[in-house]
Amino acid sequence: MLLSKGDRIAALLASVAIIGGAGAALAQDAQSAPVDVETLANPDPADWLMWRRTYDAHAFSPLDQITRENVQDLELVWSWAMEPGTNQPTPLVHDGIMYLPNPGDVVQAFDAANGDLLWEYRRELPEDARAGDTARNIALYDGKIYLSADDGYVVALNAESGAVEWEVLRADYKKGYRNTTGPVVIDGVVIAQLNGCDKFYEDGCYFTAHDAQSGEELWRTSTVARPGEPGGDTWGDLPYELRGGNDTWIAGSYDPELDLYFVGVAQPKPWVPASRGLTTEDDALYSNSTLAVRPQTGEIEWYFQHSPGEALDFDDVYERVLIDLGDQKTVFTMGKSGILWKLDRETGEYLDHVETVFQNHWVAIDENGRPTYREDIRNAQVGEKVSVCPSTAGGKDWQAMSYYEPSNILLIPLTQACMEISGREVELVVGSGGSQADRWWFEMPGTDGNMGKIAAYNPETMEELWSTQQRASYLTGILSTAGGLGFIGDLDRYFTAFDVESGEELWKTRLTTSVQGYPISFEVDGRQYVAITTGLGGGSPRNVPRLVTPDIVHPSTGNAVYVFALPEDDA
Amino acid sequence: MRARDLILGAAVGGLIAVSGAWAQGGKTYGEKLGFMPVSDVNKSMIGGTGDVQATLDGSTLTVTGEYSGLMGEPTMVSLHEAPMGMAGPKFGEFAVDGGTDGTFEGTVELSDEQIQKLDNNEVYVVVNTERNEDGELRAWLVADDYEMTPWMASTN
Repeated sequence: MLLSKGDRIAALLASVAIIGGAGAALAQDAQSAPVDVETLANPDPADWLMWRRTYDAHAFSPLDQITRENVQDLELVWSWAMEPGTNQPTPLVHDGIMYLPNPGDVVQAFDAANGDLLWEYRRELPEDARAGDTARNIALYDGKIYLSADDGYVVALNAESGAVEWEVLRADYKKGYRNTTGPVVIDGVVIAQLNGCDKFYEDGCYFTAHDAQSGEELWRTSTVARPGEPGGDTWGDLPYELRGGNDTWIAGSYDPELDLYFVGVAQPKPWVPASRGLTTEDDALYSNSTLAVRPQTGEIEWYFQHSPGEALDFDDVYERVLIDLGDQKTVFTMGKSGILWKLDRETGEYLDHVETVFQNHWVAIDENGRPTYREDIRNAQVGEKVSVCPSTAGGKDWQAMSYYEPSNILLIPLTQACMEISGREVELVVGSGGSQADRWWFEMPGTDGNMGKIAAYNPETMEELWSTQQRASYLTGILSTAGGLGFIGDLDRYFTAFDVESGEELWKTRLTTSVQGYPISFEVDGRQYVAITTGLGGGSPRNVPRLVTPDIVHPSTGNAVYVFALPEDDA
Repeated sequence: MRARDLILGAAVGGLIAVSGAWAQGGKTYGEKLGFMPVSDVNKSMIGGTGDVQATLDGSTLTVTGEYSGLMGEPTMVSLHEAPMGMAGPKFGEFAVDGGTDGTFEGTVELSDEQIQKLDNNEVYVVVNTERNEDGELRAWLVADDYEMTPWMASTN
């Protein structure tokens, strides 16, 4: 007898078992076909198997049941309250089962069609660990869920039960190391990024790779150029232990044909060069760079530095979107600077850029893609204030863009705000460090106080196709679907669908609190669903609107996941 | 939306209609008034919202506006020159009477250089208050037909 996915899950629910275990409370097995190398490279249209759905980070779903014509009929199918803490997660869906990372390293599995809980993993964290950080993503491979935990461990869970398969310590949380993003699995290698590198320690900053079956650490690549090594002289005379920052707090992308993993590196710390004892002429490699890495060895094949000599918390760490333009293989990315970069992903060569929001920090970008700071920024000393656009909320922040494949459109969530920033004096000794700048924010001129912006770009010509703006900040990545729709959520509790070709708003609903995270779409038994989370907490994308647009209010609780679909009669 | 915002919205609508008539005499500028730079340290001192409109007729710039919800009594409106998003020196001012909700109107004679800066969106207006000597609200006088232009293209 053939059972639908829903029937199989219902049958499993009939045999509920509670299984005790260290850090895990297990409610139910959740069986599905294992995810393998081929599945990850070519996922079933019904599934959402990784952070941005596919290795190229398009966040595009080929599902087309929900269209421009019927999207106004979307209705809530189920919802689930989530753990408190900073919440910016991406649910994954495979074979009718949703896997959801909660703050505090709680992972849950649900029947994706009705929200029945199948199992739950609840990690026991040390009391002095920074628990409650977001887990923007988890990873699925070969019957396991991979999680980067708040206590410095990389953890593999059994995808059918939530039981721990292995766990490996790879960073010391007592030194501030932590994880807000999860692993990416490439051909049996679990690549795990790291953040919390802002303090000065001999450990430096790095990311690691692990054997998917055993957890054994396979390689560790430093994101900080060491003295005496290539690029080591870009930090002046600073010893290695005083070279702070360079976190990798967003998951990367992968090109199977080139066998290259593309990952962004964040800013050096402290933010202002004078606080680091450096100048804007000291590049501080590999900060604010795209790295192209061999996934089996961790070797850096090439790098491109977007913001050398970091001075304004530019944070070029965000998603890398891989787009083939004819025969040319390109990679697109954008940091807080508001500059959309286009690189050749075979070589790292700079191809083009475009300013997506008003910016006044760089006066030029040369033919090799190297920018020049405004003079007063170049000369800023400790305690001197500079006024600059955009701010530490971006431009663009962790809210990831989507590439709408059918019409070759990049859809980008943006923030329009500016700031004054002043670097602090920092003691250059081990254990010191941090961001160390004072900031004051204000509305971006020329926007009429509209902080949220969506812009659509043609990646070939780099021309803006359309843009829309609103008072409330957008706090989710963008999902695009083959129904011609984009989905996005905002601080003002709205979850909205828009026409990807025009930006026209087609549907919206208001949820319990700020909509924050990464929307996804999936299908179970022929019915297309859209899932989104509400969430609280975060850095500048929350703090800047809290201060600059206090007229946008929302409840201070309400982390949850919501799943929408068309009425069953329409599906 | 608060009642105060509704009232302000109605006032803004009326003034936009008026400025539209004035626009027949010259180029018009305007923008929403937003907070002066704000952090957790000074946020209790900064509040309010509003709008500013301006019309250039020859070398005479007429500035009008409305505001509500200020944290301090307004003292004056000052005009400054600086590229968008940067701070710059004051070159003109006029007094404001009234409470924390109100309107203002004044004229300032511009030099040829200042007219050029206005044309480049490089003039901003500050509403100064008793609690905020450096200003509580601010807006650049952005041309009504303003579209975001790449800064690097304009500086090269």
